[in-house]
Amino acid sequence: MAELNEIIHQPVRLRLMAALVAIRTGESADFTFLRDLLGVTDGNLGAHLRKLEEAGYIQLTKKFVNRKPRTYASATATGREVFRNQVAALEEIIKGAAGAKRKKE
Amino acid sequence: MNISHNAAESALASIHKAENQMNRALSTSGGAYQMIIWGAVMMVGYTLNQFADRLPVALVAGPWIVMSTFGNILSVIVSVQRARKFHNPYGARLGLLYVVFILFGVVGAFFVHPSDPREINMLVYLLVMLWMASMGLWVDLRLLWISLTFTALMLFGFLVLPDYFFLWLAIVGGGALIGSGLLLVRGRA
Repeated sequence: MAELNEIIHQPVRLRLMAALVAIRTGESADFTFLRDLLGVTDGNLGAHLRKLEEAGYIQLTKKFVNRKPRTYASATATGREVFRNQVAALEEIIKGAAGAKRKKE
Repeated sequence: MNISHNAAESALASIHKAENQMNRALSTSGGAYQMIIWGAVMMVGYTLNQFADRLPVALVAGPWIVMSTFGNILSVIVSVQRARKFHNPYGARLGLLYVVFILFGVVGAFFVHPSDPREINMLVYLLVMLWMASMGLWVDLRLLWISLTFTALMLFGFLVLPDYFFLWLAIVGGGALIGSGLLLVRGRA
């Protein structure tokens, strides 16, 4: 049975991982775009990105666009794997609860 | 770590919501829109080419010039908008590769001297499809299959329906490009 991962179970980090995993491998998303997509503040997003980066689930890259620094985030192979396991674990919980409900009936 | 059934459902719902939001953002800022733009240009342009012998030259060449310029401007806008949101390590190289293919096409045409308008258009089409295939190998395999399918369809039209080749390019070439673009958009949305 797949285990729930505490690091990405936090709601903002879970949505962040879901968004980053939806992008092709090798591509990365802009910090400002992610902030607007998730509806969080700069500080909040920055803290969650750092946490995920420390865990090795995402990679942060700084690029200069029109001489301004921009941060891009992408999911690593480990991050994609952990996210898939998290989804599987959540689905198992739901299936397990549905099975237990049927047995009771 | 244990959570309730409701918490698991809520977590999955938030995952799907974030995935959908990202897919919608990707679909409105990707190459799919460029395919739709160029498909429309092909449809109108090659339909005019098919009836070129019955139309004044200005009525065939004029729309091509206007639409190609418009298509190029829209393509640049779409690319710039996408680059603001997403970074692709191959993005600049793919743009340069397009220019390189066209340059090689011009040099190749200098040696081969294609004189028939059908041959010239087939050569341009093959170069664009070669670029799309290369892009597919780099970033998205679906583009490789789309490119190979279009190339096979265009070769069929060129060899089997020579008298209607431009109409074939307009309807099958342009239509398939628009259809593929729409499929990519819907697949993401």
